[in-house]
Amino acid sequence: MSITEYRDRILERLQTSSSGIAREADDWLELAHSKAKIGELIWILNDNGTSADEKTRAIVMMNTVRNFSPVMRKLQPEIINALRGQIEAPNVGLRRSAISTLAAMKDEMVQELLLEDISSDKPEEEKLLPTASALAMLARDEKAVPSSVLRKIMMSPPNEESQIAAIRQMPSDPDVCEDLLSLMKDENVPLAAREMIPGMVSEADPLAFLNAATEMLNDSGEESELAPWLVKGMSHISAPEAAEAVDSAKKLVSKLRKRKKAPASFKSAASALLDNGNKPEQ
Amino acid sequence: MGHNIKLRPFSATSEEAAKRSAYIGWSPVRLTVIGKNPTGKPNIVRLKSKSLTSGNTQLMFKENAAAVPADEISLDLGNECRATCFVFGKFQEGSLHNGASPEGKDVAVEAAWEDTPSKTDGSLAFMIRVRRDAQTLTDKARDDFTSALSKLNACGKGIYVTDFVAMHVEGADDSQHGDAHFLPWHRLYLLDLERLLQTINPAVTLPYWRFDQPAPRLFDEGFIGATDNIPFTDDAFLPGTSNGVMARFSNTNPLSNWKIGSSNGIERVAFFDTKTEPASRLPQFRVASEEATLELGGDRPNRFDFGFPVGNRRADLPTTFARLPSGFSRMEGMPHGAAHVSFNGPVNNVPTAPRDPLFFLLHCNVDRLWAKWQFATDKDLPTEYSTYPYQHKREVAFATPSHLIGLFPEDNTLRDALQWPWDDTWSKPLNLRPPGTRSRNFTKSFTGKEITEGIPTIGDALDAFGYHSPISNVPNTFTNYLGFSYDDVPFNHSRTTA
Repeated sequence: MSITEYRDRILERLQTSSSGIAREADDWLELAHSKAKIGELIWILNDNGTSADEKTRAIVMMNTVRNFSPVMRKLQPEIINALRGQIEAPNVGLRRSAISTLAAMKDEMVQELLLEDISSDKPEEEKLLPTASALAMLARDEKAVPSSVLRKIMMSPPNEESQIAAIRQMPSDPDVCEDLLSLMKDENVPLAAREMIPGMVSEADPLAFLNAATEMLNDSGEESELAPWLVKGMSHISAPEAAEAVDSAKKLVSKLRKRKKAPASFKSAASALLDNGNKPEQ
Repeated sequence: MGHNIKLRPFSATSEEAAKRSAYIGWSPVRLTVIGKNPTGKPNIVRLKSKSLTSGNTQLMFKENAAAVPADEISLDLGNECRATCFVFGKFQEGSLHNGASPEGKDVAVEAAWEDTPSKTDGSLAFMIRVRRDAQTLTDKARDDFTSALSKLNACGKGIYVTDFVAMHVEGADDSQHGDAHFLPWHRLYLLDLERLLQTINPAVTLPYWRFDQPAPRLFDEGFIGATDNIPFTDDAFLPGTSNGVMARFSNTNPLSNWKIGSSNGIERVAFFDTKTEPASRLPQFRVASEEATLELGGDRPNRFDFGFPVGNRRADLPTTFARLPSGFSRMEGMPHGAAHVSFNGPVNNVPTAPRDPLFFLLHCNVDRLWAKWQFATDKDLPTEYSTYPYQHKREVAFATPSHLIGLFPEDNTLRDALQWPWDDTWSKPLNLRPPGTRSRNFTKSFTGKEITEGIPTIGDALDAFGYHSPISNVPNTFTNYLGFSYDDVPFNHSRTTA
């Protein structure tokens, strides 16, 4: 089959195709580019007589075309205003849609409200949104949540999801390493949170991490669920002052991977640490 | 024992540079051949392709731009002991990656003097390096990609974050979205990143995600991350967040270290089953099939047209009259936008989308579809309305009948735009400074056009595969070929053949 034939075949398929997509594509583009149609959606949000479901649907339509709508950029103040009116809506779905959309726009008012909410001692069910959701929404602006708030949630979480979300966003500064290491060792902390910590701490405080990791490997061995992540954390360390400790940790990993019971995930992580992975082609 | 025949692709002038530059696609690339026949017989060299593996990758040659592609070629180096030809990958429909290299250099140009044809006296290994379907990548090609990408991420502090996440922001929308700029801007954006990946590992290209097909191998712990499926409801759709639900990675996947600033991991949940279904969300906001998407741009090649569409597509009018994106850039809504909003997570929201590396695979497919439409309809002449709607009228002779003015590509000049952020200006209306190090710093390449002063133009993107720039045998003449191809979008040599 020549290239010309290949091309002709594509053209033939196009000429006989009748998907009707052009009409649908234009309808969406018209919505995205129409001040009147976006205006209607804003009106729905502002209208007291419109149901929560219809309002939620209007937000969905806005968010669907927002990525390619120059009109929405121009009408941003009106849209923000309308969304702010739904922040405390009794309907949870509408409230979450409005708050999430505002948070995606890095709206300062909603950031302040969420921050106040997650910092408070209110029971979860009384908050605007669950703490984990609020943290995820605030994460779109790195400066939105102070580390002191994250630290408080991380150490005394209202639930597991919040703890995972707080650890996920915690800057790995040296002064939080001790707390992070204590959580890494704590088997009551969910694995999804613990497995993030080696990557965070190994860079910020490599010696403390190596001490903790070797201690855990000695105690729990190669079969623990966290073991591959501990080994992976070791492979990030490049600080010269940790070279001796890394060598010693490598010897331990080398010994553990030879054991019959060493799981495949441990062996892969060990291989990446000890065998230096793939080298790119030159 | 050294070889007497030197093979120098692109503008390489040394053996080391030749090895560095020996990554080509389907577009013709200049190959300079240098040597003197030690037997004193005529300085004629025979070039042929030799596979270095059990695969079927093969190179082809053209003596000049207008020649017919051939499997072998004879070149007279003459008294100057030097001649130039063109080399490119052989497109073989139906074979793995349509004949491109799966994961590295696997085919060589072998050179012999014509009087001693059985004695190879020059050789250079090549990779036919094209962008491939993520679903069909070999394990090594996948790991090379994730490893290079992870290095650019550098645990949340690398150039991926400081430059590439920062470039795709709402304030720069005038260059990126809602307009016919959309396709060229993203083509350049992808290429800038891909060239950086290639500085880490030259065998790496961006894979594309065919969002109109199931991609279980891509949405896997070993690749872009296993992704949970939730049903779509109006109140479940959240811009920029998945409510904390994360894509899952194996601990050996380099992307398991992914960070943006101090934020660990990738938030992502899908409204479709990533293992068995193509992307989808609302039935009326479809992730259209490839054919339906190509249909958006019109289907009549080489026609004498003013941008008017087949059928009744009013948006294809020249922009003087049209407010909507025209021609193929209509696909910004469907399927492009539809693919983005098939997820909850950063990828569904412009300012945060590149936080998820899936973004680049999604956009690579958008670009592939554009490239395929350009290939099928020959729409890559920058001064043609139906290629790109923003054109100035060139001054024409006084005697030209008014009804003919503006109908021919040669009557137009591309209303080119230097592209933010590379152009070093502040974007308007938000006066956004170019982020990171991108300003006047489009990544240089040994295997594609060097962008003048580091500032790419729309024209560069429109003729990315080098159909219209002068392909000549004059040394130092460089083509517009930007250095990338797609496995299913060949170069149409019949357009340049005399």
